Amino acid sequence: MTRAVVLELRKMRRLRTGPIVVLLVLAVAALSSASQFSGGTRETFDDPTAAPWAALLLTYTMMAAMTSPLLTAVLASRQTDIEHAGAGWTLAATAGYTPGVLCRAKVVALSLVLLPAVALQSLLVIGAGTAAGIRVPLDPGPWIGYTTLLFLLDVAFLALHVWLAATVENQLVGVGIGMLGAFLAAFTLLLPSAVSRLIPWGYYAVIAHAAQDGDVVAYQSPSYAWIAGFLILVGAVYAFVTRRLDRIER
Amino acid sequence: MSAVITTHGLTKTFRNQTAVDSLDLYVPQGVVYGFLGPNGSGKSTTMKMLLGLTRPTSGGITLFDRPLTPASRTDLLRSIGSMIEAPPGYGHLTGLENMRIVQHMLDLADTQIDHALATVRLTAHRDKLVRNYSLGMKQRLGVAMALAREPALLVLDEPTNGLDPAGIEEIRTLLVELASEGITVMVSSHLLDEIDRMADVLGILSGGKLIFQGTRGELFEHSTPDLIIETPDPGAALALGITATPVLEGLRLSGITKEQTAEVVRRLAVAGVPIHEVRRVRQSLEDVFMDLTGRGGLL
Repeated sequence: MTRAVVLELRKMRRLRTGPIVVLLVLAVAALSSASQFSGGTRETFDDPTAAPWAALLLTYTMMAAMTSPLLTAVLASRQTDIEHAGAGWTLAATAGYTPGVLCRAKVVALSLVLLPAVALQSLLVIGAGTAAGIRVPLDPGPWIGYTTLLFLLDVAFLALHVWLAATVENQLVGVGIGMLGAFLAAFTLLLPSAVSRLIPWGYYAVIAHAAQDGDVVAYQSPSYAWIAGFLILVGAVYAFVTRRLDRIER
Repeated sequence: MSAVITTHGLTKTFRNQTAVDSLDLYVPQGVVYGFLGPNGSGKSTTMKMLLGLTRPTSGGITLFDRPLTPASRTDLLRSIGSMIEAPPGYGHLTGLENMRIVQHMLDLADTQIDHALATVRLTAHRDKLVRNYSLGMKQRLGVAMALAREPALLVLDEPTNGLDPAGIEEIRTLLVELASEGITVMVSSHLLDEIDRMADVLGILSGGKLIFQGTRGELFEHSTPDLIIETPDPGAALALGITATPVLEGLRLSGITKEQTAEVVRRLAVAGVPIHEVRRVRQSLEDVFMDLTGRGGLL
């Protein structure tokens, strides 16, 4: 498996995976932080009851929900489409690497790129908040928790999109579903948690560590059991469907 | 001559359609085995089964005297280079980077990669992006990828597909060279003239069935070429009751055996018909194939 992951990292060369990720990270960080420089928001920066960090985390959650499904779809599509275009499935199969192994390796390799990207994204948002002048002490717990779960959720959707890209050669399908997912992820932030949990992209709302109730923004604990259940389910389904890929005769 | 590939009753059925029907292949060691058949005759399916990429519905495959099974497949594939359907190659990488992928997959040495690129004469183009390669260069890169592991058997599915005559000649020369180095080459094509000048042994597939397997000479024995009798007086010959078609040089007789030829010549000589030359029409492989398949081939 390690060898297969290294192969995927080699294939990433010139796929512009890095620039795409950096661009999205900067965009999310900028969009999340833009409101911090408006006059009204700045007035809350030294008021602990206004919870400026929680408000910033909530904005960040919304921006990440709007962009992450599309980012994962694009990354997975680019990394998988090359196998269709370059007859890579057959080449790998004749060297003992089945399609299932390739798909699992692609998810691991892309996760290795996403891990520092998501961490950097959160740090940039925090850095922007600090630069804007938030003087209330930062509670790192919700930020670390959200960043971790955002990464894990991105990995889950990478898995979905890699499988989709491997199964359906027309990559517009996968990217289209990613766009639809981005809409659903943002929309579910406005829905009750009970509804969000039933929609896969709704988990971008379920992992939110901040919520708004009326005019009050505060940290909240997400439903870890549901999130863990969803991630385990995705992992199990992915293991199953990628084993099935090995039996497909191309 | 020992066999590198043998199959027994190899059959592949997709739903209700039999793509490959009871194939008994015998590919001797060190030859170029031309695997001929019209598009859709089952060549690619057969080759995929030989590489373990597709499971046979029934029948067995033996490679290098070992049965091909899920357990033996990985080990056997170490000795088999292949290119099935389209030439592999990631367009966003250079030729060398593609070769490095293969090197990493198979844990090969740098020298093996360099040698494979040199063999297909791609060393000078190894730093070009594959998306900028011509079709011929892509085909050659595919062959280099297959050669990198220094295989004992090379399985190539239509390696000259889409190439211009110069490209076809280049691939043909390369395969003959490889066979001369002791590599067994199994190469498929739906075009007879591509195979005609390179294959030592031919296997002809039609509708999933193997309708001929043997040497070129054995194939020609299956068909009797027309006889040309050069005479300035074909009318006199026809007046003797000889069944023939008048042609520019004289007469053309079809389906006539050696004994019948002797009898016709004797009658013409007795009748005093001048005979300038008696010869068989030179047949192409395609003519023989058409005879063999009752002109039902689609080549």
